[in-house]
Amino acid sequence: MNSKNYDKTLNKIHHSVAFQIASVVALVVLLILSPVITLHAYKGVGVKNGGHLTGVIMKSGRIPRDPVKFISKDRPICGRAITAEKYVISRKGEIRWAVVSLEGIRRGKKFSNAQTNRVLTNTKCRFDPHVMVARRRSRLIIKNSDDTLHNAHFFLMRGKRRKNIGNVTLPFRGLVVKNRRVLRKSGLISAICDAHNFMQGYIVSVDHPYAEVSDRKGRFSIRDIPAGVYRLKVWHEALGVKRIRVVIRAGKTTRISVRY
Amino acid sequence: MESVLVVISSDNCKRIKNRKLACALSLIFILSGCSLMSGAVPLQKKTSQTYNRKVASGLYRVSCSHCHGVTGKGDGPAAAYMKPRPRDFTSGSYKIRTTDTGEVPTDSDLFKTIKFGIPNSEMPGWSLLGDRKIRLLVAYIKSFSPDFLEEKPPRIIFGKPGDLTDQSIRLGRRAYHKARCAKCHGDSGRGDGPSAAELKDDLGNSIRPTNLNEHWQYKGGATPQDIFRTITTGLNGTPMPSYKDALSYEERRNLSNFVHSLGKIKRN
Repeated sequence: MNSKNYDKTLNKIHHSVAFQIASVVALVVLLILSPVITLHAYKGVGVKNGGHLTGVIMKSGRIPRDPVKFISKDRPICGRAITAEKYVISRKGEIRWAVVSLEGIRRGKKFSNAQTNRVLTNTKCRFDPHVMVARRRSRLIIKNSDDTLHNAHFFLMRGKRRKNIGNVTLPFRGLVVKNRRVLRKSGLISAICDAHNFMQGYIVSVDHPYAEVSDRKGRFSIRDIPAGVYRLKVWHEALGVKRIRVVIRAGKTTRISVRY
Repeated sequence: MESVLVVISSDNCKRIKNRKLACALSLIFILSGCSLMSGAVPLQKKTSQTYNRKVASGLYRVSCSHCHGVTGKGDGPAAAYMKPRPRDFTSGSYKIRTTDTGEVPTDSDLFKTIKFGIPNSEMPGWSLLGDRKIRLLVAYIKSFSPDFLEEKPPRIIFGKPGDLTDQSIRLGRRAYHKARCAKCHGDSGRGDGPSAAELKDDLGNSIRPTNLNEHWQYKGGATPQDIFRTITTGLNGTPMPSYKDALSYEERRNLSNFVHSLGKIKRN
């Protein structure tokens, strides 16, 4: 096709009504989708007659031992040795400190007050709680209950890479720091203390309130979920990530068991 | 997107039978198209219009890439021989800032770092390039990390440096003990505290606390004002934390005077 013919054909296509309508429709679709594509925002609207999800997280096969770290300084406060809390698993195989969260949920219940103002305490050279779920863009309250210097050094984890997002010092007992910047992005946040290199904690910063940490018996319970089919993400610091499809029915409780 | 917008122009309306409706529709969607594109426009402006990227790229390759790498990941051919390792620009984490801990620096912070270098490291001062070229490099270096587009942290405003009086230095010594600086920097500031041996930087490489008795080792500068900034904002990428919440403004000012006195700079 020579260039003159090509231009003519192009002109014809551009001037056809069908093309103009198609382009208008394409723009409308883009316009409607743009907030969904760009914002990924969660809307807390309250849930009536929602379903519940309860379950237990288990380890099958050999149960790994929790590593013990020996301490050479601040022994009156930290003790002589400390467990890493990497594998807090009962004899039956119930896993503590696993985080369960629903993926891709856009509307649902509102955040509770407890999920908004989370407290991270440095006590006996441990981060308490070892793993927590916190609302994105909320305030994180960091405390020191030890009579020694701690520093809460936060990293946002992106695969194997980590990005420093704040390093707050807590040099004396009773100091309370209210930080608004650590939880500015969603994702997994690792907390370490440079002065005590055996300290390690995790915060999962979430956009929605449908996330929980498993308890001593590996149990979790997420309430008031709008009925539907979801993907449940289970994360554990050493055992990794698992994803499971769950069906939530209105007014009913779905029970699941996750096995690593 | 642009071609679609061009097609729905007012000229084309004449060819459609229901002219009024078509024109109205076109106008609405041209506007909506513009609003959709508006998010991308400032981005383009930032990367292509406000500075000459080609010149900046050439400048970067000649002056910076040997250590910081062509892709800005701090993995240039000379990087392996350096301690501390050259900055990874893709991380958006910079030591010398006037912004809060964990934040990206301001343009003027980056400008000063490039112009005057960082003491006790392999980063030299590039004042020989001239201010205009340094500004180009600042813009180019910022383009390695998306954090600069997402965040615009405020500068932490500093007052005037406190007078270097004996009283202030005495109070600063008290703040040094209160803030437990000795944990890393040691009782006499020689960088030999109980936690000194195990410190690691963000990349996982071992890093020593600065020996405060040698003022030329202070990475953020050795004037009381520089020390005040380092204490307040911390040094991103290293274990040095921010003392903004732990110590009052006055305590930090006294502490910076005390640390300055440890550096044994001869006063005129």
